[in-house]
Amino acid sequence: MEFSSILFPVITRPVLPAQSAFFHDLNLNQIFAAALQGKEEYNLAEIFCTPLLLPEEVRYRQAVMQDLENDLLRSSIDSFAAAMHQSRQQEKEAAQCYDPYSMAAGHFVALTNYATAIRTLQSDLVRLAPESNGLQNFMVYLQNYIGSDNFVSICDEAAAIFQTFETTIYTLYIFGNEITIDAYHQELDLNQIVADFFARFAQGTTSVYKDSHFKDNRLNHIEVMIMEQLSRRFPHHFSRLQQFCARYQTFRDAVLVRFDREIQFYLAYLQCMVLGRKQGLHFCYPVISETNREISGEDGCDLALQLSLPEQKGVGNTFSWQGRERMMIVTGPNQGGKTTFARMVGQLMYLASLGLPVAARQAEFFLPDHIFTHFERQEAEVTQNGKLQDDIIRIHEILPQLTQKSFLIINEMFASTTLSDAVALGRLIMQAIPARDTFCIYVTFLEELATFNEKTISMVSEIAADQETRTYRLGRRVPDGCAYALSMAAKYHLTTSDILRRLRHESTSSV
Amino acid sequence: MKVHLLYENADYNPQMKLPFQAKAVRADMEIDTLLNTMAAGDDLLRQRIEPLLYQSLLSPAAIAYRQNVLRDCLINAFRALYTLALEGVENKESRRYVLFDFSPQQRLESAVIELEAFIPILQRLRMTAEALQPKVGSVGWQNLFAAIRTLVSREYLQDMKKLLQELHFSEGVLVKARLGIRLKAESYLVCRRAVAKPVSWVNRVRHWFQHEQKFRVLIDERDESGYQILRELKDDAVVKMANTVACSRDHVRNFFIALRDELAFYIGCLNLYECLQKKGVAISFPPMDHLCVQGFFCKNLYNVTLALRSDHPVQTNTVDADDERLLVITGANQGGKTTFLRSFGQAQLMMSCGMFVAAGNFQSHIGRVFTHFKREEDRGMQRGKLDEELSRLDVLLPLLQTGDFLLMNESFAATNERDGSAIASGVVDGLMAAGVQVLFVTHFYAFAAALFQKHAAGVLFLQAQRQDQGARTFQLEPGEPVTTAFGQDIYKNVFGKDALL
Repeated sequence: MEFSSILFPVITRPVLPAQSAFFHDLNLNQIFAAALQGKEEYNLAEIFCTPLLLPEEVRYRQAVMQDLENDLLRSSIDSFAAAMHQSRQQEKEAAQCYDPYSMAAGHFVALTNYATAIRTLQSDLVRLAPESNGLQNFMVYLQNYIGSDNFVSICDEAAAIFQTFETTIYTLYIFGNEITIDAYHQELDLNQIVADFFARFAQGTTSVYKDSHFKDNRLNHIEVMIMEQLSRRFPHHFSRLQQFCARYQTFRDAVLVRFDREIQFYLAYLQCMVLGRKQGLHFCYPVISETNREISGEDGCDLALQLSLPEQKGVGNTFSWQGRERMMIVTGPNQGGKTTFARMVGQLMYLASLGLPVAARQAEFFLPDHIFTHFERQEAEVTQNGKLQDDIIRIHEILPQLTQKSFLIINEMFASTTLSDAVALGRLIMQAIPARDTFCIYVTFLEELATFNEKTISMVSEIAADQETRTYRLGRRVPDGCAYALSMAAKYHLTTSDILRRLRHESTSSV
Repeated sequence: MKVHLLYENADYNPQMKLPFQAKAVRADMEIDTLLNTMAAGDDLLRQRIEPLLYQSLLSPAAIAYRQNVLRDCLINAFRALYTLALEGVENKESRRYVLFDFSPQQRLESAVIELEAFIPILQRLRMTAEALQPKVGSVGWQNLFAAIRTLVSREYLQDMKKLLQELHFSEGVLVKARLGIRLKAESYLVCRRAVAKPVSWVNRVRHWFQHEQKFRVLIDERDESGYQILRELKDDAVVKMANTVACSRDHVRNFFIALRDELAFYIGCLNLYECLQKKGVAISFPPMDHLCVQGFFCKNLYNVTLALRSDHPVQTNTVDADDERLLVITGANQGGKTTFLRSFGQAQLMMSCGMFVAAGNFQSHIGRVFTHFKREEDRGMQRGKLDEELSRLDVLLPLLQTGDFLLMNESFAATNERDGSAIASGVVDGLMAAGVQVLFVTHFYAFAAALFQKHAAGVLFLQAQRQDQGARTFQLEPGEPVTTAFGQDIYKNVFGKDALL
């Protein structure tokens, strides 16, 4: 099979930017921003916005990623990318030169760096033997490219030219307004003479002075004049260089250029994984279920949250839908990690559908046709009534689009109305969704919904044994009312027994 | 050309850090008074001397080496040499140039001028060495003077003059560079221009031919930017040369700095010596060929800082603790206990860095000085004070080694006598077992008495004396610890006739 892309086994459709509202709700855009940091030139955002639709596409990417988790291979790609970047820069700069000498030199350097980058990558790949189909096919392509007559003659000629220029030494004699150019006639190095002469005074330390300052790569008009004389002094060197550059005016291979960009998709996400692993996150390659619709994960973490809180250790949560279960109702105290949990499941599912590893010990997902989110909107101008109305309008828009392969995340819907209203509305929605057989997470403070029917799973955020600390861990159980409120009360000695005791004490003392 | 007046085979390190214990030792041993006299108002002397005071030399040979160098100094008063070193460090040409942001060409020129200004100073240095060498006996001075005479010879200075003349580049500069594929010389290297030699006619023809073949760029006189670029090109051309010359300049300067820094210690000793001479008190060099195995011996040891401050003769002590690992000093308040502790600590420190000591005779062994003194501050917090004392000892313990001296002054006085004695006994037992030499001033009779019972040998007990009328002699005498610290005497002295006792 002819290699064409490291992102797709077969290119079946164009990559289209499909920015959705849920990127923001699930904080996926934070993850993407972290991934894309420093990789702006590759324009990778659209790849992150295009989920895969076929399990074999996911497996293609997962295999490539597994190869790239080898640090040696990854750093080899890094150097390849850096060299390609440098070469592009050099070509651009060369094109902006005014004189023929620096133009030719710049072009030559760009070309040789390109060739070296490719040869280095090829030998690295042979040595590191990647196992994925994607990289193996790419290796075959690379092998053929490097073996081609054209590439071989470029390299040979370039090496010869390089050798001549690097070994030629000349002298400048500057006196008054006159510069005399000549070949080098073994004149003695005066630096060495001076250094030797004064060495006897050295006291162990030697001062360090900077030898050179920044120099413009382009030649100024005096340097051009010097070059003209040098090209007269060494005419063969220069004519050979210029002929070579004219012959290979364009030299970049389209497939390799494409690879250089697309492989960055993996490296970009690896940046995030490295950061996450530093904070103790585990990453796994999710299993993609083809026939049944499985969703489960063990110790899943919100990667976006971890990236924004580098000091804290991540808390993993485990989840699964079993049998006929469809609706996961998440309840519990405020600030207990409910929203984070819901986001995390959505993130994991989406990242899995990009063919990427996810922050969990293990995970299994099906490829959703669409992820829908219904999060609270924070617009200041929406009145209380308007807010409720907005909630209802949005859920109304979503419901008809739901399919068996969709995934819906609802976060604190109807928070702006009265409790009884909210319960009633919640029940209505709960009845509407099962008709679509859609998997759903519903974060709510309405504990009444948690035991709705046999399709319902109840997840509750847990409180540590000391009754005070939040664990940000959620467990599958029936909500228990006010455990958290009790713990806060205990902290301030305001539990029933506390108050009784304190009041009794007060009353006895006041008597 | 190494100075090596402080160490026979090692360079002096001006970045030497003060050891951890320095802060406490400085305060407890009144080092500031000593340093003030040695520095005589010169901060540089002070900075150079202080670290050496706390950095004990580790071998008798190293101490003897400094003692010998110092003896030569005391006889010859090498102040002129120190002045010459200062002159070298503060090269009169260097000051004119430091204010500006220089181009490489200007840096080159200024470094050359500075180097030229070193020539007369180096000349005088050699003449001084020639004059003084016959007068010195120590290895340190002999080596230094010999090195100066050989390495800064008349011929060398003549060559130096010639080389510096060449570095003015009054007839243009020749540089070589690699052509390189980037066509941008990465660095130019200044080369010595071949001197044209008279040649045969064949070569002359060849030379003429080559001359014709030379390729020139001439910058038009109206081309202002061309001139600017030429200047920059020249800067590029000489930047490495400028750095090489600047490094050479620094080498010469660093030599003078090293000379100044190492001399600083001896000038400080000389200052102290002259002050003590005026007071008419004795000094001596501890003999390095006869060290005590443990303990120490001193004859007419006095507190050097007290001597510097007072106009009266100071009390001296003679103690023979040649074989004792523990010295317990008890007795009358204000009876000279702390003064003795200080005089010993000072002498041990001074001996360890190669100085003379304030005693008629002083013999000891190699060991660093640590102090654990009662601190006067925070009197209110009794509990916190004991904590503080214990933690202070806690941090010292990992630093202590066999042979080191720990001077304890009323340690654990923050608690009552019974508790304090118990702590002190435990601590002292441990320290003795570890081979640490302890000098312990205490008014805990329970502690002293228990020790007296337990270790008749290996412990020397000294008493601050009082005469029968209660007047203090400030003299310490060996003997069994006594129960009273003679507070009543002080009370009586203060209250005079009104005293009810």
